[in-house]
Amino acid sequence: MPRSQSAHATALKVESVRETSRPRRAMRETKRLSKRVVQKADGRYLIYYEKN
Amino acid sequence: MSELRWHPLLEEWVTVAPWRQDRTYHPPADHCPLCPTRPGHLETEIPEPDYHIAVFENRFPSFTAEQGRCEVVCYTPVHDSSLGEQSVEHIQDLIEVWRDRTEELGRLRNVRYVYIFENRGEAIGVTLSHPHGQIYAYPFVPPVMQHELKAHARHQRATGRCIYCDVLVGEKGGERTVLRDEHWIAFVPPFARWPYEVHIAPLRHRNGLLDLDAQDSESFARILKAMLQKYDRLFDIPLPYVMAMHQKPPGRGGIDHHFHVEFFPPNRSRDKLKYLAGSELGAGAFIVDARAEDTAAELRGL
Repeated sequence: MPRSQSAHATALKVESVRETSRPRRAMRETKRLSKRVVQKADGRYLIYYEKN
Repeated sequence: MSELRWHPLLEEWVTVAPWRQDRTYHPPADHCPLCPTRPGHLETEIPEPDYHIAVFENRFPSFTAEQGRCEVVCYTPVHDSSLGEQSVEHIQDLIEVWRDRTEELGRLRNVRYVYIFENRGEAIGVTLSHPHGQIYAYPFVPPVMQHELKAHARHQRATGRCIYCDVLVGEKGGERTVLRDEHWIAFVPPFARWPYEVHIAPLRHRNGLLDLDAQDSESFARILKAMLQKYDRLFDIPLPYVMAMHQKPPGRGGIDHHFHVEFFPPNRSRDKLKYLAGSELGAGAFIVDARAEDTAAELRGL
Protein backbone atom coordinates (compact mmCIF):
# COMPACT_ATOMS: atom_id res chain seq x y z
CA MET A 1 0.00 0.00 0.00
CA PRO A 2 1.55 3.34 -0.97
CA ARG A 3 2.36 5.68 1.90
CA SER A 4 0.54 8.49 0.10
CA GLN A 5 -2.66 6.72 1.01
CA SER A 6 -1.93 7.15 4.68
CA ALA A 7 -5.25 8.92 5.25
CA HIS A 8 -6.82 5.55 4.70
CA ALA A 9 -4.06 3.47 6.17
CA THR A 10 -6.10 2.84 9.26
CA ALA A 11 -7.77 0.10 7.29
CA LEU A 12 -4.47 -1.74 7.42
CA LYS A 13 -3.71 -1.24 11.11
CA VAL A 14 -2.68 -4.40 12.79
CA GLU A 15 -5.12 -5.66 15.34
CA SER A 16 -3.40 -6.01 18.67
CA VAL A 17 -5.28 -9.18 19.43
CA ARG A 18 -6.05 -11.70 16.76
CA GLU A 19 -8.26 -14.71 17.14
CA THR A 20 -5.89 -17.54 16.32
CA SER A 21 -7.50 -20.47 18.04
CA ARG A 22 -9.35 -22.94 15.86
CA PRO A 23 -13.07 -23.17 16.62
CA ARG A 24 -13.88 -26.00 18.99
CA ARG A 25 -16.20 -27.73 16.53
CA ALA A 26 -13.57 -27.84 13.80
CA MET A 27 -10.94 -29.29 16.12
CA ARG A 28 -12.98 -32.46 16.44
CA GLU A 29 -12.61 -33.21 12.75
CA THR A 30 -9.93 -35.68 11.70
CA LYS A 31 -7.49 -34.39 9.13
CA ARG A 32 -7.97 -36.04 5.76
CA LEU A 33 -4.84 -34.60 4.16
CA SER A 34 -1.21 -33.95 4.91
CA LYS A 35 0.51 -30.83 3.69
CA ARG A 36 3.95 -30.40 2.13
CA VAL A 37 5.24 -26.90 1.44
CA VAL A 38 8.04 -26.29 -1.07
CA GLN A 39 9.60 -23.07 -2.31
CA LYS A 40 9.70 -22.41 -6.02
CA ALA A 41 12.82 -21.05 -7.73
CA ASP A 42 11.32 -17.55 -7.82
CA GLY A 43 10.54 -17.60 -4.09
CA ARG A 44 6.83 -18.33 -4.29
CA TYR A 45 5.45 -21.17 -2.18
CA LEU A 46 3.76 -24.28 -3.50
CA ILE A 47 1.74 -26.53 -1.23
CA TYR A 48 0.97 -30.15 -2.00
CA TYR A 49 -2.05 -31.52 -0.15
CA GLU A 50 -1.81 -35.30 -0.08
CA LYS A 51 -4.07 -38.09 1.15
CA ASN A 52 -3.14 -39.42 4.58
CA MET B 1 3.17 -4.33 -4.87
CA SER B 2 -0.19 -3.11 -6.08
CA GLU B 3 -1.29 0.44 -5.52
CA LEU B 4 -4.50 0.85 -3.57
CA ARG B 5 -6.43 3.91 -4.64
CA TRP B 6 -9.42 5.15 -2.71
CA HIS B 7 -12.64 5.82 -4.61
CA PRO B 8 -14.07 8.75 -2.64
CA LEU B 9 -17.52 8.61 -4.24
CA LEU B 10 -18.15 4.91 -3.70
CA GLU B 11 -15.94 4.77 -0.61
CA GLU B 12 -14.12 1.65 -1.70
CA TRP B 13 -10.62 0.60 -2.70
CA VAL B 14 -9.50 0.13 -6.28
CA THR B 15 -6.44 -2.10 -6.69
CA VAL B 16 -4.03 -1.13 -9.48
CA ALA B 17 -1.81 -4.04 -10.58
CA PRO B 18 -0.47 -3.27 -14.09
CA TRP B 19 1.71 -6.42 -14.32
CA ARG B 20 -1.42 -8.54 -14.51
CA GLN B 21 -1.79 -7.33 -18.08
CA ASP B 22 0.95 -9.83 -19.00
CA ARG B 23 -0.62 -12.88 -17.34
CA THR B 24 -0.81 -16.19 -19.15
CA TYR B 25 -3.62 -16.11 -21.68
CA HIS B 26 -5.27 -19.24 -23.07
CA PRO B 27 -2.19 -21.44 -23.48
CA PRO B 28 -2.65 -24.65 -25.52
CA ALA B 29 -3.51 -27.70 -23.39
CA ASP B 30 0.01 -29.15 -23.74
CA HIS B 31 1.44 -25.93 -22.24
CA CYS B 32 -1.01 -25.71 -19.34
CA PRO B 33 0.82 -24.27 -16.30
CA LEU B 34 -1.56 -26.00 -13.88
CA CYS B 35 -0.97 -29.56 -15.11
CA PRO B 36 1.68 -31.68 -13.39
CA THR B 37 5.09 -31.59 -15.08
CA ARG B 38 5.39 -34.45 -17.52
CA PRO B 39 8.78 -36.08 -18.14
CA GLY B 40 10.51 -34.47 -21.12
CA HIS B 41 8.19 -31.46 -21.10
CA LEU B 42 8.65 -27.91 -19.84
CA GLU B 43 8.24 -27.47 -16.10
CA THR B 44 4.81 -26.16 -15.14
CA GLU B 45 3.84 -24.36 -11.93
CA ILE B 46 3.79 -27.82 -10.33
CA PRO B 47 7.15 -29.58 -10.86
CA GLU B 48 6.05 -33.04 -9.72
CA PRO B 49 4.57 -35.62 -12.13
CA ASP B 50 1.32 -35.93 -10.14
CA TYR B 51 -0.57 -34.29 -7.30
CA HIS B 52 -3.82 -34.61 -5.37
CA ILE B 53 -4.62 -30.95 -4.71
CA ALA B 54 -2.03 -28.18 -5.04
CA VAL B 55 -1.97 -24.53 -4.00
CA PHE B 56 0.58 -21.93 -5.03
CA GLU B 57 1.09 -18.18 -4.96
CA ASN B 58 -0.27 -16.57 -8.08
CA ARG B 59 2.51 -15.51 -10.45
CA PHE B 60 0.55 -12.38 -11.28
CA PRO B 61 -0.87 -11.40 -7.89
CA SER B 62 -3.17 -8.52 -7.08
CA PHE B 63 -1.94 -8.64 -3.46
CA THR B 64 1.41 -9.84 -2.18
CA ALA B 65 3.93 -9.30 0.63
CA GLU B 66 2.49 -7.14 3.42
CA GLN B 67 -0.70 -6.41 1.46
CA GLY B 68 -2.03 -9.95 1.37
CA ARG B 69 -1.90 -13.01 -0.86
CA CYS B 70 -3.33 -14.36 -4.09
CA GLU B 71 -3.32 -18.11 -4.41
CA VAL B 72 -4.28 -20.57 -7.12
CA VAL B 73 -5.95 -23.81 -6.01
CA CYS B 74 -5.53 -26.66 -8.50
CA TYR B 75 -8.45 -28.99 -7.83
CA THR B 76 -7.11 -31.97 -9.77
CA PRO B 77 -4.18 -32.92 -12.01
CA VAL B 78 -6.68 -33.88 -14.75
CA HIS B 79 -6.80 -31.07 -17.30
CA ASP B 80 -10.14 -31.89 -18.95
CA SER B 81 -12.25 -32.03 -15.83
CA SER B 82 -14.22 -29.74 -13.54
CA LEU B 83 -15.11 -29.23 -9.90
CA GLY B 84 -18.50 -30.86 -10.44
CA GLU B 85 -16.87 -33.97 -11.90
CA GLN B 86 -14.83 -34.64 -8.76
CA SER B 87 -16.01 -37.30 -6.32
CA VAL B 88 -17.74 -36.25 -3.11
CA GLU B 89 -14.68 -37.51 -1.24
CA HIS B 90 -12.37 -35.37 -3.37
CA ILE B 91 -14.56 -32.31 -2.80
CA GLN B 92 -14.40 -33.02 0.94
CA ASP B 93 -10.62 -32.95 0.60
CA LEU B 94 -10.89 -29.67 -1.23
CA ILE B 95 -13.07 -28.27 1.57
CA GLU B 96 -10.29 -29.20 3.98
CA VAL B 97 -7.83 -27.30 1.77
CA TRP B 98 -10.13 -24.25 1.70
CA ARG B 99 -10.39 -24.43 5.50
CA ASP B 100 -6.63 -24.65 5.88
CA ARG B 101 -6.07 -21.67 3.61
CA THR B 102 -8.80 -19.68 5.40
CA GLU B 103 -7.06 -20.29 8.72
CA GLU B 104 -3.50 -19.68 7.53
CA LEU B 105 -4.17 -16.62 5.37
CA GLY B 106 -6.50 -15.19 8.02
CA ARG B 107 -3.57 -15.13 10.44
CA LEU B 108 -1.46 -12.89 8.19
CA ARG B 109 -0.84 -9.51 9.74
CA ASN B 110 -2.71 -7.22 7.39
CA VAL B 111 -5.31 -9.58 5.96
CA ARG B 112 -8.87 -8.46 6.59
CA TYR B 113 -10.78 -10.93 4.43
CA VAL B 114 -10.11 -14.36 2.90
CA TYR B 115 -12.17 -14.78 -0.24
CA ILE B 116 -12.38 -18.16 -1.95
CA PHE B 117 -13.75 -18.15 -5.47
CA GLU B 118 -13.77 -19.82 -8.84
CA ASN B 119 -14.15 -18.27 -12.26
CA ARG B 120 -15.25 -20.88 -14.76
CA GLY B 121 -15.51 -20.51 -18.52
CA GLU B 122 -14.29 -18.09 -21.13
CA ALA B 123 -17.50 -16.08 -20.83
CA ILE B 124 -16.37 -15.16 -17.32
CA GLY B 125 -12.91 -14.22 -18.53
CA VAL B 126 -11.05 -17.35 -17.51
CA THR B 127 -7.59 -17.49 -19.10
CA LEU B 128 -6.65 -21.02 -17.96
CA SER B 129 -9.12 -23.84 -18.56
CA HIS B 130 -7.55 -26.34 -16.11
CA PRO B 131 -9.97 -26.86 -13.16
CA HIS B 132 -8.88 -24.42 -10.52
CA GLY B 133 -10.08 -21.80 -8.11
CA GLN B 134 -8.46 -18.82 -6.47
CA ILE B 135 -8.10 -17.28 -3.06
CA TYR B 136 -7.63 -13.59 -2.42
CA ALA B 137 -6.48 -12.54 1.04
CA TYR B 138 -7.41 -8.86 0.95
CA PRO B 139 -5.97 -6.04 3.07
CA PHE B 140 -9.54 -4.73 3.39
CA VAL B 141 -13.04 -6.15 3.62
CA PRO B 142 -14.38 -6.09 0.03
CA PRO B 143 -17.43 -3.88 -0.61
CA VAL B 144 -19.98 -6.66 -1.15
CA MET B 145 -18.99 -8.35 2.09
CA GLN B 146 -19.02 -4.99 3.89
CA HIS B 147 -22.58 -4.39 2.74
CA GLU B 148 -23.61 -7.86 3.89
CA LEU B 149 -21.90 -7.54 7.25
CA LYS B 150 -23.50 -4.15 7.87
CA ALA B 151 -26.95 -5.44 6.90
CA HIS B 152 -26.44 -8.46 9.14
CA ALA B 153 -25.34 -6.28 12.09
CA ARG B 154 -28.31 -3.90 11.64
CA HIS B 155 -30.75 -6.81 11.45
CA GLN B 156 -29.22 -8.45 14.50
CA ARG B 157 -29.45 -5.24 16.50
CA ALA B 158 -33.09 -4.78 15.49
CA THR B 159 -34.32 -8.36 15.85
CA GLY B 160 -31.65 -10.35 17.64
CA ARG B 161 -31.54 -12.76 14.71
CA CYS B 162 -29.20 -13.53 11.81
CA ILE B 163 -30.43 -11.95 8.58
CA TYR B 164 -29.44 -14.96 6.49
CA CYS B 165 -31.16 -17.37 8.89
CA ASP B 166 -34.29 -15.29 8.28
CA VAL B 167 -33.75 -15.51 4.51
CA LEU B 168 -33.65 -19.29 4.91
CA VAL B 169 -36.89 -19.26 6.91
CA GLY B 170 -38.43 -17.67 3.82
CA GLU B 171 -37.37 -20.70 1.78
CA LYS B 172 -39.32 -23.22 3.86
CA GLY B 173 -42.08 -23.33 1.24
CA GLY B 174 -39.59 -24.78 -1.23
CA GLU B 175 -40.74 -22.76 -4.24
CA ARG B 176 -37.21 -21.53 -4.88
CA THR B 177 -35.40 -24.60 -3.57
CA VAL B 178 -33.16 -26.45 -6.03
CA LEU B 179 -31.64 -29.02 -3.66
CA ARG B 180 -31.94 -29.67 0.02
CA ASP B 181 -30.87 -32.19 2.62
CA GLU B 182 -30.90 -32.22 6.41
CA HIS B 183 -27.98 -29.80 6.66
CA TRP B 184 -27.76 -27.66 3.50
CA ILE B 185 -29.94 -25.95 0.92
CA ALA B 186 -29.32 -24.75 -2.62
CA PHE B 187 -31.85 -22.16 -3.75
CA VAL B 188 -32.44 -19.26 -6.09
CA PRO B 189 -32.84 -16.32 -3.73
CA PRO B 190 -35.95 -14.18 -4.23
CA PHE B 191 -33.62 -11.22 -4.76
CA ALA B 192 -31.44 -13.00 -7.38
CA ARG B 193 -29.78 -10.55 -9.77
CA TRP B 194 -28.87 -13.17 -12.37
CA PRO B 195 -31.35 -15.60 -13.97
CA TYR B 196 -29.69 -18.77 -12.69
CA GLU B 197 -28.07 -17.36 -9.58
CA VAL B 198 -27.97 -19.92 -6.78
CA HIS B 199 -26.98 -19.75 -3.13
CA ILE B 200 -25.77 -22.81 -1.22
CA ALA B 201 -25.94 -22.41 2.54
CA PRO B 202 -25.92 -24.45 5.75
CA LEU B 203 -29.37 -24.57 7.33
CA ARG B 204 -27.82 -24.18 10.77
CA HIS B 205 -25.97 -21.00 11.52
CA ARG B 206 -22.29 -21.38 10.66
CA ASN B 207 -19.88 -18.45 10.46
CA GLY B 208 -17.57 -19.88 7.86
CA LEU B 209 -15.57 -22.87 6.70
CA LEU B 210 -13.77 -23.11 10.04
CA ASP B 211 -17.12 -23.55 11.74
CA LEU B 212 -18.06 -26.66 9.75
CA ASP B 213 -17.79 -30.09 11.34
CA ALA B 214 -17.24 -33.36 9.45
CA GLN B 215 -20.96 -33.87 8.82
CA ASP B 216 -21.37 -30.30 7.56
CA SER B 217 -18.42 -30.78 5.21
CA GLU B 218 -19.70 -34.04 3.77
CA SER B 219 -23.14 -32.59 3.17
CA PHE B 220 -21.62 -29.43 1.67
CA ALA B 221 -19.55 -31.56 -0.73
CA ARG B 222 -22.61 -33.55 -1.82
CA ILE B 223 -24.81 -30.53 -2.45
CA LEU B 224 -22.02 -28.62 -4.19
CA LYS B 225 -21.38 -31.51 -6.58
CA ALA B 226 -25.09 -32.05 -7.25
CA MET B 227 -25.61 -28.34 -7.94
CA LEU B 228 -22.70 -28.15 -10.36
CA GLN B 229 -23.96 -31.23 -12.19
CA LYS B 230 -27.36 -29.59 -12.55
CA TYR B 231 -25.71 -26.47 -13.92
CA ASP B 232 -23.95 -28.48 -16.63
CA ARG B 233 -27.23 -30.21 -17.54
CA LEU B 234 -29.09 -26.89 -17.80
CA PHE B 235 -28.02 -26.14 -21.37
CA ASP B 236 -25.90 -29.25 -21.98
CA ILE B 237 -22.75 -27.17 -21.86
CA PRO B 238 -20.10 -26.68 -19.18
CA LEU B 239 -21.94 -23.72 -17.67
CA PRO B 240 -19.70 -20.72 -16.97
CA TYR B 241 -20.06 -19.25 -13.50
CA VAL B 242 -18.48 -17.26 -10.72
CA MET B 243 -18.50 -19.15 -7.42
CA ALA B 244 -18.10 -16.81 -4.44
CA MET B 245 -17.73 -17.92 -0.83
CA HIS B 246 -18.93 -15.48 1.81
CA GLN B 247 -17.69 -16.07 5.30
CA LYS B 248 -16.84 -14.21 8.48
CA PRO B 249 -13.74 -12.00 8.31
CA PRO B 250 -10.78 -13.53 10.15
CA GLY B 251 -9.77 -12.66 13.66
CA ARG B 252 -12.82 -10.66 14.58
CA GLY B 253 -14.52 -12.60 17.31
CA GLY B 254 -17.44 -10.18 17.63
CA ILE B 255 -18.39 -10.17 13.95
CA ASP B 256 -21.05 -12.66 13.02
CA HIS B 257 -21.97 -13.91 9.56
CA HIS B 258 -23.79 -16.82 7.92
CA PHE B 259 -21.54 -18.80 5.60
CA HIS B 260 -22.89 -19.25 2.10
CA VAL B 261 -21.70 -19.75 -1.46
CA GLU B 262 -23.08 -17.65 -4.29
CA PHE B 263 -23.09 -18.75 -7.94
CA PHE B 264 -23.42 -16.33 -10.82
CA PRO B 265 -23.73 -17.97 -14.23
CA PRO B 266 -23.81 -15.28 -16.94
CA ASN B 267 -26.07 -17.29 -19.26
CA ARG B 268 -29.74 -16.45 -19.63
CA SER B 269 -30.06 -19.18 -22.27
CA ARG B 270 -27.69 -21.59 -23.99
CA ASP B 271 -26.50 -18.95 -26.46
CA LYS B 272 -27.33 -15.67 -24.75
CA LEU B 273 -25.43 -13.99 -21.97
CA LYS B 274 -26.55 -11.36 -19.55
CA TYR B 275 -24.22 -8.38 -19.70
CA LEU B 276 -23.73 -5.75 -17.07
CA ALA B 277 -24.83 -2.69 -19.00
CA GLY B 278 -26.28 0.77 -18.40
CA SER B 279 -28.47 0.09 -15.39
CA GLU B 280 -26.29 -2.53 -13.74
CA LEU B 281 -22.83 -1.13 -14.38
CA GLY B 282 -23.67 2.55 -14.59
CA ALA B 283 -26.25 2.74 -11.82
CA GLY B 284 -25.72 -0.41 -9.80
CA ALA B 285 -29.37 -1.36 -10.29
CA PHE B 286 -29.87 -4.90 -11.55
CA ILE B 287 -32.67 -5.74 -13.93
CA VAL B 288 -33.21 -9.50 -14.13
CA ASP B 289 -35.10 -11.17 -16.97
CA ALA B 290 -36.43 -14.13 -15.03
CA ARG B 291 -38.36 -14.91 -11.85
CA ALA B 292 -36.41 -16.83 -9.21
CA GLU B 293 -39.37 -19.18 -8.76
CA ASP B 294 -39.28 -20.15 -12.45
CA THR B 295 -35.53 -20.69 -12.74
CA ALA B 296 -35.53 -22.65 -9.46
CA ALA B 297 -38.23 -24.96 -10.84
CA GLU B 298 -36.21 -25.40 -14.03
CA LEU B 299 -33.03 -26.27 -12.11
CA ARG B 300 -34.91 -28.49 -9.67
CA GLY B 301 -36.30 -30.54 -12.54
CA LEU B 302 -32.91 -31.36 -14.08
